[in-house]
Amino acid sequence: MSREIHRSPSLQKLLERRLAASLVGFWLLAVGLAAFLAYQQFNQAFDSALQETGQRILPLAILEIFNRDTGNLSSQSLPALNIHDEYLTYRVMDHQGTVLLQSHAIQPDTFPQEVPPGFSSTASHRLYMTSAVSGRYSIQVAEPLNERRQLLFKTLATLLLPLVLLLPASLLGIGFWVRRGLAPLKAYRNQLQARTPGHLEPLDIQLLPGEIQPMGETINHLLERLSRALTAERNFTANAAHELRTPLAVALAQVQRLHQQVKTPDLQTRCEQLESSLKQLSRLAEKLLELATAEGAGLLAEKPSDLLPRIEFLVQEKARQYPGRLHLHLPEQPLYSSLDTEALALLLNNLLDNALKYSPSGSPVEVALNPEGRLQVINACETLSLENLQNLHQPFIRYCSDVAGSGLGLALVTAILEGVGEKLELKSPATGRNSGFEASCQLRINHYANTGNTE
Amino acid sequence: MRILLVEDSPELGAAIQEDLEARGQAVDRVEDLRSARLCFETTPYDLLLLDLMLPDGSGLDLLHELRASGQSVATLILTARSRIDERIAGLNAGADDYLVKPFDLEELHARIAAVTRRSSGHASSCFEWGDLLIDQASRNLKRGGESVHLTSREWALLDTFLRHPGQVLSRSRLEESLYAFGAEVESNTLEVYISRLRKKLGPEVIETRRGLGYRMADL
Repeated sequence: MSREIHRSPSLQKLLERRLAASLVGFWLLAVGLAAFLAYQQFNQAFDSALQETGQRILPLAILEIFNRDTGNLSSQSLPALNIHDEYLTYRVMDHQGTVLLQSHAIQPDTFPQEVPPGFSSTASHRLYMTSAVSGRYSIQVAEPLNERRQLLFKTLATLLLPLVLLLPASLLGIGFWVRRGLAPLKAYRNQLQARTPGHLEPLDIQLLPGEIQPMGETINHLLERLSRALTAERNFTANAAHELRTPLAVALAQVQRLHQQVKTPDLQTRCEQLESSLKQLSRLAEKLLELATAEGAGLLAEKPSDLLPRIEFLVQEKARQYPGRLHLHLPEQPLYSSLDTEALALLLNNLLDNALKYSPSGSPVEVALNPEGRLQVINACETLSLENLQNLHQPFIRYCSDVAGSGLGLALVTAILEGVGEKLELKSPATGRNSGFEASCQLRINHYANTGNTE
Repeated sequence: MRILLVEDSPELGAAIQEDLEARGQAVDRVEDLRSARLCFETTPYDLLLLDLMLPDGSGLDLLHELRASGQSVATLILTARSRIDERIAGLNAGADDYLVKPFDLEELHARIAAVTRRSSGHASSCFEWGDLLIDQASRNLKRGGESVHLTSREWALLDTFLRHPGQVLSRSRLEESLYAFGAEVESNTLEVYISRLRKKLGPEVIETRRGLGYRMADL
C-alpha cells in the first residue's frame, strides 16, 4: 500500500538559498557597475588633468627654448626647484624627434618610439601628446597607471566593505523572514503529522497564508466527507448485522423448539436438516459481515488504545469455548495501536479459530505478542507443504475439508492486514519446532500514544 | 428459577420463553424497558435475559439502573450487535455474560447455568451435597451412586435452593420461582413439590422454618 515517495527539497532551504544567491549576485553586480562608472569618471578627470598639464607646459617650454642659446640644442633637463618625486613626466621634442626638454626624473622606457597624438596608453603609463607651432614642437606627458589602478581598488574596497559586513546580516535576515513566513505551513504540517489515521476532525486553517488556505479548505472538506463515509459504512455494517441476525435467531429458535416437540423420526430428521442449514446460513452471513468489515475502510480507530486488554479479552472469550488450550504471552508494558477493535477481533478470532480447528483436539495453541507488536499464533499439526501454505491466503481454500469452516478465515486476516499495510506470514514448521503451523503478523504500533507526545 | 426475558422480537421471545418453561423455569416476557422496570418493582428475579436494542432505549440503561439501585440479579445479554466495544460496555455495565444472536438454545441454557452458578458462588456446575452428586448443567442427579429423575418443576425448585445456600426462603419467593405472571398457583402446590423433593433426595435436605419458609440444609 505504501508507495515510495521521492523527497522534494525543503521549500525553506530552497527559498533561503535562492534569495541569498540573488542578493549576493545583485549586490556584486551593483558594486561592479558602480566601480566601472567611477573608473570611467576619474579616468576622464585624470585625462583632463594630463591634457591640461601638457597644454600648459608646452608654450612655456617653447618660450624657454626660444630664449636659450640657440647654439646648443642638445636635450636638457630642467633642474628641479627642489628634490621631489615626479608623478608626471614629460619631454618636449622638435619635429625631427629630437628631445629639447624633459623632466628631471624621466625614465628611458616611459615613452615608446612612436607616440600618437592625443591620448594613448602603454602597459604602465597613460600618455598624452600634442604639438604646437605648426607641428615643429610637440610635448609628450606620461602619467603612471598605477595611481588609477590603486584608486579603482580603493573604490572597490570602499564599496565591498559594507557588503562584507552586511551580507551575513542580510542572510540571517532572509533566513529569519523565510522561517517566519513558513511558520503557519509548518504548524499545519505538524497538525497533520500528529493525526492518527482514524482521526478525521477538520484541521485549523486560520493562520495559513491566503495562497494555501483554499488547499486547507479542500483538505478539510475531504476529511469531513471521508469521516461521513466511514461512519455510514460502520453503521451500515452494524445495522446489516442486526437486521440479518434477528430473523436468523427467530428461525433457529423456532426450528429447535419444533425439533423438541415433534415425535416422528421423519419430521425430526427434517428439523435437524433445517437446523443445520440455518446454522450454516448464520455462519455464512457472519463471515460475509466480517468480510465487509475486513475490506472496509474503518480498520483504523480515531485514537490508539492499549492492545493488551483487548487481546486478553478476546483470548479469554475464546478460551471459554476451548478451555485449557490457549496459552497467552503478552509483554509487560502497554502497547498502543490504532488498529480498530473490531478489526483486531476479526483478525485474532480468525487466527485462533484456524489454529484451534486445524490442530489435534486438546493440543495447546500459543498466542504471543512481543514488545514490538508482532503477533504469533502457533498450533501443533503436521508440517504443511509450501504449495499448501501459499494457497491458504485465498478465500474458500481449506487445508482440510473434514473440519467445518467457510475457508474465509485466513483470507479475512489477509484482507485486514493488507488494509493497514501489513501482511500475514505463514510458516510450517513453526519457528524453532520440527512441525506445527505458525501464523504471524505485525500490528500497527503507536509508540508515543501513551506519553502524550503527538510528534 | 424466576426469569425476566426482555426481548422486542415477539417470535424470538416466545420461542425462548416456551423453551425455558419446558425446562421448568418461570419466565416473564416483556418487550420494552418500561414494562421491565415495572416487573422489577414487583418481583424479585433470579435471572435477567436482556436484549440491547429495545423500542424505548438501550437495555444497558436498565442494567445501569439496576446496578445503581443495588440489584445484583444475574444478567445475560442477548443481542444481535456483536461489536467488541459493545460487548465490553455490556460487561462493564454489570452483565454476567453476553450471547450474540443467532444462538443455539442449548448454548443459551449452558450460559444460563454458568451465569446462575457464578451468582450462587458455585465454581463448577457439578458438586456434592451430602450423599447427592448434582450436575446442574446436564440436569443429572445421583443419590448414593443411583440416578434420580427430577421433573422440570422439581429442578426449578432445587435450583432456587442451590442458588441461596443457607438462606431461609419465604413461601412466596419459592412460588415465584415456580410460576410466571398469570399462572394459576394452587394453595398447596409448593408443599407438594417440597415433599416430592424430600422423597427423592432425602427427608433432611430441606428444613422447614415455621412461619418463615424453607431452607436448604447444611449437609
